[in-house]
Amino acid sequence: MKESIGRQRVLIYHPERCTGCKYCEMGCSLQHFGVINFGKSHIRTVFDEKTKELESVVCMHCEDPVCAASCPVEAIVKEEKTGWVKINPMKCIGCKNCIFACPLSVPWFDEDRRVASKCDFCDPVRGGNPICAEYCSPKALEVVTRTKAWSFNEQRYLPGGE
Amino acid sequence: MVTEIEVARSLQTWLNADMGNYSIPRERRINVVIKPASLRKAVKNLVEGYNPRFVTISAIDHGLDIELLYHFSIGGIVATLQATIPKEANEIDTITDMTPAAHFIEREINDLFGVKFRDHPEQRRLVLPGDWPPGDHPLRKPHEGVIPPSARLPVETLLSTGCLTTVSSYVKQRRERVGLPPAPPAVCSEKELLPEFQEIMRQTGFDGKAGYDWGKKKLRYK
Repeated sequence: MKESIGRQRVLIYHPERCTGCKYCEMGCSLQHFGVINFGKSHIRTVFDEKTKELESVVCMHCEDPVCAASCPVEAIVKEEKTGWVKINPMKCIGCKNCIFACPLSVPWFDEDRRVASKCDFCDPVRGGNPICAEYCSPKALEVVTRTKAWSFNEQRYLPGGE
Repeated sequence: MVTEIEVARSLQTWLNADMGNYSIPRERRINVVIKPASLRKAVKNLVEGYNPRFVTISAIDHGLDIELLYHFSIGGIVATLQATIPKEANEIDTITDMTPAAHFIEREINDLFGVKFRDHPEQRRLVLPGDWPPGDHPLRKPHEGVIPPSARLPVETLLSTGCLTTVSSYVKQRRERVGLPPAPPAVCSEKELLPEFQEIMRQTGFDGKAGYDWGKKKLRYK
Protein backbone atom coordinates (compact mmCIF):
# COMPACT_ATOMS: atom_id res chain seq x y z
CA MET A 1 0.00 0.00 0.00
CA LYS A 2 2.82 2.34 0.98
CA GLU A 3 4.45 1.66 -2.37
CA SER A 4 1.38 2.65 -4.33
CA ILE A 5 1.06 5.83 -2.27
CA GLY A 6 4.70 6.59 -2.96
CA ARG A 7 4.06 6.44 -6.69
CA GLN A 8 1.28 9.02 -6.56
CA ARG A 9 2.10 12.35 -8.18
CA VAL A 10 2.25 15.62 -6.25
CA LEU A 11 3.68 19.10 -6.72
CA ILE A 12 6.85 20.37 -5.10
CA TYR A 13 8.17 23.91 -5.09
CA HIS A 14 11.77 25.05 -5.45
CA PRO A 15 11.87 28.60 -4.02
CA GLU A 16 15.41 29.24 -5.28
CA ARG A 17 14.22 28.80 -8.88
CA CYS A 18 11.04 30.87 -8.52
CA THR A 19 11.10 34.40 -9.94
CA GLY A 20 7.66 35.41 -8.69
CA CYS A 21 6.29 35.91 -12.20
CA LYS A 22 2.91 34.47 -11.14
CA TYR A 23 2.38 32.65 -14.43
CA CYS A 24 1.27 29.68 -12.32
CA GLU A 25 -1.56 31.74 -10.82
CA MET A 26 -2.55 33.15 -14.19
CA GLY A 27 -2.58 29.71 -15.79
CA CYS A 28 -4.56 28.20 -12.92
CA SER A 29 -7.33 30.80 -12.93
CA LEU A 30 -7.46 30.71 -16.74
CA GLN A 31 -7.74 26.93 -16.73
CA HIS A 32 -10.39 26.65 -14.04
CA PHE A 33 -12.42 29.85 -14.44
CA GLY A 34 -11.54 31.16 -17.91
CA VAL A 35 -10.20 34.43 -16.49
CA ILE A 36 -6.81 35.76 -15.49
CA ASN A 37 -7.50 36.62 -11.86
CA PHE A 38 -5.03 36.03 -9.04
CA GLY A 39 -7.93 35.88 -6.60
CA LYS A 40 -9.33 32.83 -8.36
CA SER A 41 -6.20 30.72 -8.38
CA HIS A 42 -5.75 27.49 -6.46
CA ILE A 43 -2.07 28.25 -6.04
CA ARG A 44 -0.69 31.34 -4.34
CA THR A 45 2.87 32.57 -4.63
CA VAL A 46 3.68 35.04 -1.89
CA PHE A 47 6.68 37.24 -1.23
CA ASP A 48 7.76 37.65 2.36
CA GLU A 49 8.95 41.24 2.84
CA LYS A 50 10.85 40.37 6.02
CA THR A 51 12.89 37.44 4.77
CA LYS A 52 12.81 38.55 1.13
CA GLU A 53 11.84 35.06 0.11
CA LEU A 54 9.21 33.66 -2.20
CA GLU A 55 6.97 30.82 -1.13
CA SER A 56 4.24 29.06 -2.98
CA VAL A 57 1.17 27.85 -1.16
CA VAL A 58 0.15 24.75 -3.02
CA CYS A 59 -1.96 21.77 -2.00
CA MET A 60 0.11 18.82 -0.80
CA HIS A 61 -2.79 16.38 -1.28
CA CYS A 62 -2.03 15.07 2.21
CA GLU A 63 -2.06 11.37 2.94
CA ASP A 64 -4.60 12.00 5.70
CA PRO A 65 -6.24 15.29 4.70
CA VAL A 66 -7.56 17.37 7.57
CA CYS A 67 -9.74 19.37 5.19
CA ALA A 68 -11.65 16.19 4.35
CA ALA A 69 -11.87 15.28 8.04
CA SER A 70 -13.28 18.70 8.90
CA CYS A 71 -15.96 18.67 6.21
CA PRO A 72 -19.40 18.13 7.78
CA VAL A 73 -21.05 16.98 4.55
CA GLU A 74 -18.25 14.81 3.10
CA ALA A 75 -17.85 17.09 0.12
CA ILE A 76 -14.07 16.61 0.20
CA VAL A 77 -12.88 13.25 -1.03
CA LYS A 78 -9.41 11.79 -1.36
CA GLU A 79 -9.18 9.63 -4.45
CA GLU A 80 -7.69 6.31 -3.45
CA LYS A 81 -5.75 5.60 -6.62
CA THR A 82 -4.33 8.99 -7.49
CA GLY A 83 -4.26 10.45 -3.98
CA TRP A 84 -5.70 13.77 -5.13
CA VAL A 85 -7.99 15.56 -2.70
CA LYS A 86 -10.97 17.14 -4.39
CA ILE A 87 -13.99 19.20 -3.39
CA ASN A 88 -17.37 18.33 -4.79
CA PRO A 89 -18.98 21.75 -5.31
CA MET A 90 -22.45 20.22 -5.51
CA LYS A 91 -22.11 18.91 -1.96
CA CYS A 92 -20.19 21.82 -0.42
CA ILE A 93 -22.30 24.05 1.83
CA GLY A 94 -19.70 26.82 2.08
CA CYS A 95 -19.09 26.47 5.83
CA LYS A 96 -15.36 27.25 5.42
CA ASN A 97 -14.32 24.56 7.92
CA CYS A 98 -11.76 23.18 5.48
CA ILE A 99 -10.15 26.61 5.08
CA PHE A 100 -9.58 26.88 8.83
CA ALA A 101 -8.60 23.23 9.21
CA CYS A 102 -5.92 23.16 6.54
CA PRO A 103 -2.52 24.07 8.00
CA LEU A 104 -1.65 25.93 4.78
CA SER A 105 -5.17 27.30 4.27
CA VAL A 106 -5.09 25.97 0.74
CA PRO A 107 -8.88 25.82 0.16
CA TRP A 108 -10.36 29.25 -0.50
CA PHE A 109 -13.90 30.51 -0.50
CA ASP A 110 -15.28 31.29 -3.93
CA GLU A 111 -17.64 34.24 -3.35
CA ASP A 112 -19.29 33.82 -6.76
CA ARG A 113 -20.29 30.19 -6.34
CA ARG A 114 -20.52 30.32 -2.52
CA VAL A 115 -18.47 27.12 -2.15
CA ALA A 116 -14.94 26.23 -1.12
CA SER A 117 -12.51 25.55 -3.92
CA LYS A 118 -9.08 23.98 -4.09
CA CYS A 119 -6.47 22.40 -6.35
CA ASP A 120 -7.77 19.36 -8.23
CA PHE A 121 -4.43 18.62 -9.93
CA CYS A 122 -6.10 19.71 -13.20
CA ASP A 123 -8.00 16.45 -13.30
CA PRO A 124 -9.88 15.46 -15.44
CA VAL A 125 -9.60 18.39 -17.90
CA ARG A 126 -5.85 18.09 -18.37
CA GLY A 127 -5.58 14.49 -17.28
CA GLY A 128 -3.80 15.28 -14.05
CA ASN A 129 -1.12 17.34 -15.73
CA PRO A 130 -1.23 20.58 -13.71
CA ILE A 131 -1.06 23.74 -15.78
CA CYS A 132 0.88 25.64 -13.09
CA ALA A 133 3.85 23.30 -13.43
CA GLU A 134 3.64 23.43 -17.20
CA TYR A 135 3.54 27.23 -17.34
CA CYS A 136 6.41 27.52 -14.84
CA SER A 137 9.33 27.95 -17.22
CA PRO A 138 12.07 28.19 -14.51
CA LYS A 139 10.68 24.84 -13.30
CA ALA A 140 10.16 26.02 -9.74
CA LEU A 141 7.00 23.92 -9.64
CA GLU A 142 7.60 20.32 -10.43
CA VAL A 143 5.42 17.24 -10.57
CA VAL A 144 7.15 14.38 -8.75
CA THR A 145 6.24 11.16 -7.01
CA ARG A 146 5.20 11.34 -3.41
CA THR A 147 8.34 9.45 -2.38
CA LYS A 148 10.51 12.15 -3.87
CA ALA A 149 8.33 14.85 -2.35
CA TRP A 150 8.72 13.28 1.11
CA SER A 151 12.50 13.44 0.98
CA PHE A 152 12.48 16.88 -0.67
CA ASN A 153 10.18 18.43 1.92
CA GLU A 154 11.95 16.69 4.76
CA GLN A 155 15.24 18.19 3.69
CA ARG A 156 13.75 21.59 3.08
CA TYR A 157 11.40 22.12 6.00
CA LEU A 158 12.48 19.85 8.84
CA PRO A 159 15.26 20.83 11.27
CA GLY A 160 18.59 19.52 10.08
CA GLY A 161 17.62 20.09 6.46
CA GLU A 162 19.35 22.64 4.26
CA MET B 1 27.98 31.20 -15.82
CA VAL B 2 26.79 32.09 -19.32
CA THR B 3 27.87 35.37 -20.85
CA GLU B 4 26.05 37.58 -23.33
CA ILE B 5 28.62 36.90 -26.05
CA GLU B 6 28.23 33.13 -25.60
CA VAL B 7 24.49 33.39 -26.14
CA ALA B 8 25.02 35.47 -29.28
CA ARG B 9 27.61 33.04 -30.68
CA SER B 10 25.40 30.04 -29.98
CA LEU B 11 22.50 31.68 -31.79
CA GLN B 12 24.82 32.53 -34.67
CA THR B 13 25.88 28.89 -34.93
CA TRP B 14 22.30 27.65 -34.87
CA LEU B 15 20.79 30.21 -37.22
CA ASN B 16 23.66 31.18 -39.57
CA ALA B 17 22.21 33.53 -42.17
CA ASP B 18 18.81 33.68 -40.44
CA MET B 19 20.29 35.78 -37.68
CA GLY B 20 20.76 39.49 -38.17
CA ASN B 21 22.67 41.91 -35.99
CA TYR B 22 22.91 41.62 -32.27
CA SER B 23 23.60 44.24 -29.63
CA ILE B 24 24.49 44.23 -25.96
CA PRO B 25 23.12 47.59 -24.75
CA ARG B 26 24.22 46.98 -21.19
CA GLU B 27 25.28 44.27 -18.79
CA ARG B 28 23.07 41.17 -18.72
CA ARG B 29 21.05 42.28 -21.74
CA ILE B 30 21.23 41.09 -25.34
CA ASN B 31 19.04 41.86 -28.33
CA VAL B 32 19.19 39.58 -31.35
CA VAL B 33 17.47 40.27 -34.66
CA ILE B 34 16.20 37.09 -36.32
CA LYS B 35 14.12 36.23 -39.35
CA PRO B 36 10.52 35.29 -38.44
CA ALA B 37 10.85 31.99 -40.32
CA SER B 38 13.67 30.89 -38.03
CA LEU B 39 11.88 31.74 -34.78
CA ARG B 40 11.02 28.17 -33.88
CA LYS B 41 14.53 27.01 -34.64
CA ALA B 42 15.99 29.73 -32.40
CA VAL B 43 13.61 29.06 -29.51
CA LYS B 44 14.03 25.29 -29.77
CA ASN B 45 17.80 25.54 -29.60
CA LEU B 46 17.63 28.12 -26.84
CA VAL B 47 15.30 25.94 -24.75
CA GLU B 48 17.38 22.81 -25.29
CA GLY B 49 20.73 24.50 -24.91
CA TYR B 50 20.20 26.88 -22.00
CA ASN B 51 16.89 25.94 -20.40
CA PRO B 52 15.87 29.60 -20.17
CA ARG B 53 12.92 31.13 -18.41
CA PHE B 54 10.31 32.46 -20.80
CA VAL B 55 9.58 36.02 -19.67
CA THR B 56 7.04 37.42 -22.10
CA ILE B 57 6.40 38.55 -25.67
CA SER B 58 6.07 42.24 -26.50
CA ALA B 59 4.45 43.48 -29.69
CA ILE B 60 5.06 46.87 -31.28
CA ASP B 61 3.04 48.17 -34.22
CA HIS B 62 5.24 50.24 -36.52
CA GLY B 63 2.45 50.95 -38.99
CA LEU B 64 3.70 48.78 -41.84
CA ASP B 65 5.25 46.01 -39.76
CA ILE B 66 4.70 44.44 -36.39
CA GLU B 67 7.74 43.78 -34.28
CA LEU B 68 7.56 40.88 -31.86
CA LEU B 69 10.07 40.72 -29.03
CA TYR B 70 10.52 37.35 -27.36
CA HIS B 71 12.17 37.80 -23.98
CA PHE B 72 14.01 34.93 -22.31
CA SER B 73 16.01 34.95 -19.12
CA ILE B 74 19.15 32.80 -19.25
CA GLY B 75 20.73 32.68 -15.80
CA GLY B 76 19.99 36.36 -15.23
CA ILE B 77 20.77 37.49 -18.78
CA VAL B 78 17.70 38.74 -20.61
CA ALA B 79 17.93 37.69 -24.25
CA THR B 80 15.43 39.29 -26.61
CA LEU B 81 14.72 37.80 -30.01
CA GLN B 82 13.40 40.46 -32.36
CA ALA B 83 11.26 39.23 -35.24
CA THR B 84 9.55 41.70 -37.56
CA ILE B 85 6.60 40.54 -39.62
CA PRO B 86 5.05 42.60 -42.42
CA LYS B 87 1.36 43.35 -41.95
CA GLU B 88 0.64 41.85 -45.37
CA ALA B 89 1.70 38.42 -44.07
CA ASN B 90 0.53 39.00 -40.49
CA GLU B 91 1.47 35.49 -39.37
CA ILE B 92 4.17 33.88 -37.28
CA ASP B 93 4.73 30.41 -35.85
CA THR B 94 3.61 29.64 -32.34
CA ILE B 95 6.12 28.70 -29.66
CA THR B 96 3.50 27.40 -27.21
CA ASP B 97 4.54 23.78 -27.66
CA MET B 98 8.10 24.61 -26.60
CA THR B 99 7.30 27.19 -23.89
CA PRO B 100 3.75 26.51 -22.66
CA ALA B 101 3.59 29.82 -20.79
CA ALA B 102 3.48 31.62 -24.15
CA HIS B 103 -0.04 30.23 -24.61
CA PHE B 104 -2.02 33.16 -23.28
CA ILE B 105 0.53 35.82 -24.25
CA GLU B 106 0.09 34.82 -27.88
CA ARG B 107 -3.67 34.82 -27.51
CA GLU B 108 -3.54 38.31 -26.01
CA ILE B 109 -1.36 39.59 -28.88
CA ASN B 110 -3.77 38.02 -31.33
CA ASP B 111 -6.65 39.86 -29.66
CA LEU B 112 -4.98 43.25 -29.41
CA PHE B 113 -2.81 43.35 -32.54
CA GLY B 114 -4.44 40.80 -34.84
CA VAL B 115 -1.26 38.77 -35.36
CA LYS B 116 -2.09 35.17 -36.20
CA PHE B 117 0.01 32.52 -34.51
CA ARG B 118 0.21 29.47 -36.75
CA ASP B 119 -0.68 26.14 -35.10
CA HIS B 120 -1.62 27.72 -31.78
CA PRO B 121 -3.61 25.08 -29.86
CA GLU B 122 -6.41 27.40 -28.79
CA GLN B 123 -7.22 30.28 -31.11
CA ARG B 124 -9.96 31.82 -29.05
CA ARG B 125 -10.32 35.31 -27.63
CA LEU B 126 -8.75 36.02 -24.29
CA VAL B 127 -9.01 39.67 -23.32
CA LEU B 128 -11.65 41.04 -25.67
CA PRO B 129 -15.33 40.64 -24.79
CA GLY B 130 -17.46 38.21 -26.77
CA ASP B 131 -19.47 40.93 -28.52
CA TRP B 132 -16.38 42.81 -29.73
CA PRO B 133 -16.56 43.25 -33.54
CA PRO B 134 -14.55 40.54 -35.29
CA GLY B 135 -11.49 41.83 -37.12
CA ASP B 136 -11.21 44.90 -34.89
CA HIS B 137 -8.00 44.89 -32.89
CA PRO B 138 -7.73 47.78 -30.40
CA LEU B 139 -3.95 48.28 -30.48
CA ARG B 140 -3.48 47.76 -34.21
CA LYS B 141 -2.62 50.92 -36.10
CA PRO B 142 -3.79 51.59 -39.67
CA HIS B 143 -1.65 49.92 -42.31
CA GLU B 144 0.29 52.96 -43.48
CA GLY B 145 3.73 54.50 -43.32
CA VAL B 146 5.02 57.93 -42.45
CA ILE B 147 4.34 59.57 -45.84
CA PRO B 148 1.19 61.75 -45.71
CA PRO B 149 -1.55 60.98 -48.27
CA SER B 150 -0.82 64.04 -50.45
CA ALA B 151 2.86 63.07 -50.85
CA ARG B 152 2.40 59.34 -51.50
CA LEU B 153 2.05 59.51 -55.27
CA PRO B 154 5.07 61.82 -55.76
CA VAL B 155 7.21 59.61 -53.49
CA GLU B 156 6.16 56.49 -55.40
CA THR B 157 6.96 58.17 -58.72
CA LEU B 158 10.28 59.44 -57.41
CA LEU B 159 11.43 56.03 -56.26
CA SER B 160 10.29 54.14 -59.33
CA THR B 161 11.22 56.61 -62.09
CA GLY B 162 13.49 59.18 -60.50
CA CYS B 163 11.15 62.05 -61.46
CA LEU B 164 9.47 64.14 -58.86
CA THR B 165 8.12 67.52 -59.86
CA THR B 166 6.44 69.14 -62.75
CA VAL B 167 7.81 72.54 -63.72
CA SER B 168 5.31 75.38 -63.99
CA SER B 169 5.25 77.72 -67.01
CA TYR B 170 6.37 80.61 -64.82
CA VAL B 171 9.47 78.72 -63.74
CA LYS B 172 10.14 77.72 -67.35
CA GLN B 173 10.01 81.38 -68.42
CA ARG B 174 12.34 82.40 -65.61
CA ARG B 175 14.78 79.63 -66.54
CA GLU B 176 14.73 80.66 -70.22
CA ARG B 177 15.29 84.30 -69.26
CA VAL B 178 18.56 83.45 -67.51
CA GLY B 179 19.69 81.18 -70.34
CA LEU B 180 18.86 77.76 -68.89
CA PRO B 181 16.89 75.01 -70.63
CA PRO B 182 13.16 75.16 -69.68
CA ALA B 183 13.21 71.95 -67.59
CA PRO B 184 16.00 71.10 -65.15
CA PRO B 185 18.00 67.94 -65.90
CA ALA B 186 16.23 65.05 -64.13
CA VAL B 187 17.24 61.51 -63.34
CA CYS B 188 14.44 60.20 -65.55
CA SER B 189 15.85 61.99 -68.56
CA GLU B 190 18.80 59.61 -68.60
CA LYS B 191 18.11 55.94 -67.97
CA GLU B 192 21.62 55.06 -66.81
CA LEU B 193 21.29 57.45 -63.85
CA LEU B 194 18.28 55.67 -62.37
CA PRO B 195 20.10 52.69 -60.76
CA GLU B 196 22.56 55.05 -59.11
CA PHE B 197 19.72 57.21 -57.82
CA GLN B 198 17.86 54.17 -56.47
CA GLU B 199 21.01 52.94 -54.78
CA ILE B 200 21.25 56.27 -52.96
CA MET B 201 17.65 55.81 -51.84
CA ARG B 202 18.52 52.37 -50.49
CA GLN B 203 21.65 53.53 -48.72
CA THR B 204 19.91 56.43 -47.03
CA GLY B 205 17.11 54.09 -45.94
CA PHE B 206 14.47 56.32 -47.49
CA ASP B 207 12.81 53.35 -49.23
CA GLY B 208 12.31 51.51 -45.95
CA LYS B 209 11.07 54.58 -44.14
CA ALA B 210 8.63 55.40 -46.91
CA GLY B 211 7.52 51.74 -47.15
CA TYR B 212 8.44 51.18 -50.79
CA ASP B 213 8.18 47.70 -52.27
CA TRP B 214 10.97 47.27 -54.85
CA GLY B 215 9.35 44.13 -56.31
CA LYS B 216 5.96 45.68 -57.04
CA LYS B 217 7.50 49.11 -57.63
CA LYS B 218 4.99 50.90 -55.48
CA LEU B 219 4.33 51.87 -51.90
CA ARG B 220 3.03 49.19 -49.55
CA TYR B 221 0.02 51.38 -48.75
CA LYS B 222 -2.26 53.79 -50.58
